[in-house]
Amino acid sequence: MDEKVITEWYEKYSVEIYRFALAILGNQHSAEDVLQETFTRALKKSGYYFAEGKEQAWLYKVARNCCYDILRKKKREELSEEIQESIQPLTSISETSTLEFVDLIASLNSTDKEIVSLRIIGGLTHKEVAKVLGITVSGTKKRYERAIHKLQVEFVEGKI
Amino acid sequence: MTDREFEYILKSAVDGMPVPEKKMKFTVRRQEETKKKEVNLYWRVLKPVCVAFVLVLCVGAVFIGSMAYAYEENGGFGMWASGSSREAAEREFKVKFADAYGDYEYKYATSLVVPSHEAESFLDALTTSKYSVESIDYQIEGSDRETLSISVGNTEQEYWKHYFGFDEAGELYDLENNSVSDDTIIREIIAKEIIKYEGLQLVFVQRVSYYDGFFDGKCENTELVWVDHEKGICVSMSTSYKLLEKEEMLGYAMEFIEGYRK
Repeated sequence: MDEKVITEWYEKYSVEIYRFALAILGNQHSAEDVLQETFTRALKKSGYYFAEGKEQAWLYKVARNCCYDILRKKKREELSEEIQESIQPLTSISETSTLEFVDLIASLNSTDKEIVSLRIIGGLTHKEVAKVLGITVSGTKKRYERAIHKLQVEFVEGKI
Repeated sequence: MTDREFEYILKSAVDGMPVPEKKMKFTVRRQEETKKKEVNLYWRVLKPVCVAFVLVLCVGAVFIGSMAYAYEENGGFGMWASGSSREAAEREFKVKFADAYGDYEYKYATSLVVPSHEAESFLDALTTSKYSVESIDYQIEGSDRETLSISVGNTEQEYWKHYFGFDEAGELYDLENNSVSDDTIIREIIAKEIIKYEGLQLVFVQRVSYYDGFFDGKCENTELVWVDHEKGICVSMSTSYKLLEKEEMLGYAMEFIEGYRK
């Protein structure tokens, strides 16, 4: 893909994609890696054409795959850590106080986290979220409403 | 506070999130292209060799499978299993499989074929089948055992009743194997219920099996089976090594049904 186009996309979407990765992974260094990897993969895709605005959902899909790659890698490393008992744990996002959004959605399961993050951070429509996650539009809507209600109740009750 | 008001709080919280520290520079392209050329030289030579090797393996597998059938021609019912894909299953039964159902993520697809038992030779059995099913497996991340399996078969061929455990009338799912035991296995149905949904009759079963003498002595599973006569398919959704609540299992089934009915 054209470097100029990618640079434009980076200017436009890098902050929200970084924040999406942060919400999923809860780690700033990993989120930086996802951001870099997402745009590197975009750069390698030659011959792709997107109608205006359609690239956003595609970038989220790539970012989501990168997040899963990192989670899988992390899982393998954790296994290795158990054996070696010598590697320092990654700095968790919960140790910092400025990342309220991550704390607010912490009680959701991974899929609901993704749905809420894509809607709130990326501003994606339910149709776009469904495309990114590979689930039905009605499923996305139901899960989103359930998740928001759950968080709202927890928030009112002071659990978060 | 309403849900919408809470949404606003979430949106405000996003503004407080950090932004990336590093500014990315796009300098990787030339390096990648150089690497690609090097790989292509090897690939040009390796590709035909790999294709030939795979072809030999495929022909060998079919030959061995056919021979095995020939030897067991007079034996009981058996099935041939081979790798498949979600797309192939979706095309065959005009359904839609999601990438994930809850925490269960797509892993692999399998074609199961019951060869014709009336076949006079293995070649005959190869070309005709009594019944075929597409089975799609999902697994929880990091677990090789906790599986959600969705099997779909047609209701055109009479064998569907036998395969999915229905009675001759094709109405009721066989729930009579409660506390069945033999030398090694005891099965117990711990919950069963017939659920009506969108004109369908879904049979929900929670089952525990105890295997005597095996390392892993206990297997819990949940099943949800239904026939969609309008669509001409029978579907079995089942978990392994995990009991799911009715609501969760039904949620997955509803998502699947909505997927192929819309």
